[in-house]
Amino acid sequence: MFHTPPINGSIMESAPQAIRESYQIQMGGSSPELSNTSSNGNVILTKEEIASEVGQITELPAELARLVDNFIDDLKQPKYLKPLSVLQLSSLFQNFYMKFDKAAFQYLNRPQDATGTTFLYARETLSSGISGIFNRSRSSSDTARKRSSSLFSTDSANGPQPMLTPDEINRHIRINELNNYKIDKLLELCEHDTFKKILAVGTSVPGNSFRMEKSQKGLKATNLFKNSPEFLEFDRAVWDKTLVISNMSANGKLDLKTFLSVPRQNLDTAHLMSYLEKMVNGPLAPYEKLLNVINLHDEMTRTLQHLSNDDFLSTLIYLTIHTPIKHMFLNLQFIKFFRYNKKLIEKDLYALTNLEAALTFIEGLTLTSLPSEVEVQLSNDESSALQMPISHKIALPELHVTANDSNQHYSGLPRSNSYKEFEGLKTAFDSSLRNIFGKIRSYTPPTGAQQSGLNPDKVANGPENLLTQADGDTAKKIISIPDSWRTLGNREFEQLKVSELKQIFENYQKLLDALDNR
Amino acid sequence: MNTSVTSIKLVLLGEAAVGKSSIVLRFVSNDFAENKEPTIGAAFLTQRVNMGDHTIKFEIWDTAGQERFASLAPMYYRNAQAALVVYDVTKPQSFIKARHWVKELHEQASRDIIIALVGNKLDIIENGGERKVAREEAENLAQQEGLLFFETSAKSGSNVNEVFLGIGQKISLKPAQNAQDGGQGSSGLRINDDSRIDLRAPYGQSSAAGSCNC
Repeated sequence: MFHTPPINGSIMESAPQAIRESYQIQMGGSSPELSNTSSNGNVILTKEEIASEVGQITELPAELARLVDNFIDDLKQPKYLKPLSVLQLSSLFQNFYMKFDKAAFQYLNRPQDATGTTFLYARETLSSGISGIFNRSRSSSDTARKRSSSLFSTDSANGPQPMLTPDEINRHIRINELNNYKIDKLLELCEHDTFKKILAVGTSVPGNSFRMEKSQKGLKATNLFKNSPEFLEFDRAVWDKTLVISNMSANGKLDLKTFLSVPRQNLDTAHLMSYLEKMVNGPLAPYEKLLNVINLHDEMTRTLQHLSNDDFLSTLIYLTIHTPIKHMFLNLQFIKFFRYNKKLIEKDLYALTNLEAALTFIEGLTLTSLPSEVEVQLSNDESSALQMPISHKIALPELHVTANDSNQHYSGLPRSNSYKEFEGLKTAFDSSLRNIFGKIRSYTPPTGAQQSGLNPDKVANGPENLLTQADGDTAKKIISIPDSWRTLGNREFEQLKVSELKQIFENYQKLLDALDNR
Repeated sequence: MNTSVTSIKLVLLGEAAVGKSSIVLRFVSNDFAENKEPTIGAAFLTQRVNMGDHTIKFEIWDTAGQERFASLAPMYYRNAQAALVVYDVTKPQSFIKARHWVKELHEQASRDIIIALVGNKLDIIENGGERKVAREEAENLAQQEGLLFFETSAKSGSNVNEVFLGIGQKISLKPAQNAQDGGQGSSGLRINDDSRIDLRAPYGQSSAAGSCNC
């Protein structure tokens, strides 16, 4: 039985008209198509207009630059008990980008002098009031760089309203579209400035708190993974494996081109790999790194004339093995974590996915993947490097980035709504305990036969006795510690249940009371 | 006047050399590259289609069809809203592979992914070549698995646009269904107000449309 549902005749008749040519080679990397058409088919923005308007933005306005400064300052605050993992850092950055995105939108849509915006803003405010503002869609799923306006929204509560003329609508659409491009540019500058500042001011903070790197001069993407050893280990393993396969190819043990079915054509490997070299060792901002991946994609598409991904992917894998570049895996992860994920879409994401697929293929290569005649020629070291996929040996925490979703979800890690609270409680609890330790340490017990030794470290584990001294009184009060306090003394914090945490917290309050009343 | 553009991530799956890229080139640039270099690469392309008062923007992701790259496919079809599973009507092996792709997509891809099964190279049969995959067999598969089904020729352009229009039409039907279901269908699929279909929206989560995002 033919299952294809009947296709509307009218649609089919108009098929040639329905499909509107829109393909353009997007040379500008993540830049959206550099000419825009209104939804009714009228061209409202030309490439030149967009370039001219966006080109005027060369630096962040002071108001938005302040957000970057505040973010960097905030990162440097000693408010985290432990150094942050790269996933936690990524989450902080993504939240910041989101706030910046919204601030940039508000900045650009604010009533301004002598521009068309003023009139339209006033008109819109007049016509739709608060509801108009709320109807303005900024649901961030648009990934595709579009922000719809409230132009076509209705507000029945306010009764009949004056309709905008087609001219006004076009002007409004035009301004909105231009603003979208401007926001993209501001976001690029935001990423650039944020990482430039991290390079300039450093990220080390006093105490045992958030630390990324003390010496900032040579700060690289890899430094951000210092607190996530599994990534470093994985990166090292990918590098080792790539080197092994590369050497096998160089020694003639493996005909890489045949193995990968790379189209027989001249490859300017040095030139093509220079993009990935720049990706790893070039500017630190994720967008700038990504741009190199996109440029490689474009260059391969243009010069190699690969019709499909059949050829494209195999060539990319070949290049990656032929000219290994250290820390490529970490840099790729860095882009995934620190590029604003709302903008990591379309061709940008495709180019990055291709590179990720190439590295995944390499990490997954095993002896069984290779031609049988190759296996017998391998040394023990080579064989052992190809025993199993790296992902079978080293598990990475998974990061689910969704372009539509403003939040990132980390599987394998506690959820943010519980983990952060958990962390917060842990921090508060530990800090407070540290305060208590401070008080105890500063106390100098009087000499005497009745003096009991006090080991501050034992306090947290439930000391037998806690000595306190009343003001002006040499008599010692002995606070007995109930046995129930001891039961949790030898437990790891991570193993505690919420009810037990509550119990500890109550004990902690009692401790505080005791200290306050001494 | 069109008021909205919906972006659809569409992934191409199928054995190497079944004509995945040729179908896309025909759709996007009305071109076919036989024994000549293509004017554009077809690894990633976009194309807009007007469907009544709605515009669908297809973001087309090509995948490598070689068997050795099969395990990498999930990286490409992750979050895809539509998939073209292509086989060559003159190569039975490619149809077997297509069956595998359909099964895998149902098991691992986004829950409401729209899959079109496409038998390509129809022109070979029309020119006297032997058909190796019966149309009925493919239709049965499509019926069993709930797929759209087309036989196409990228070379002549026959039925190529219809594949994408069929997907577009099915996508366009979703919002209406969702509206009847109170904004979000039982599928969990929702159309974001400003363009992108979100197959990952959890149950019970109301649409973000209209809410203040500031």
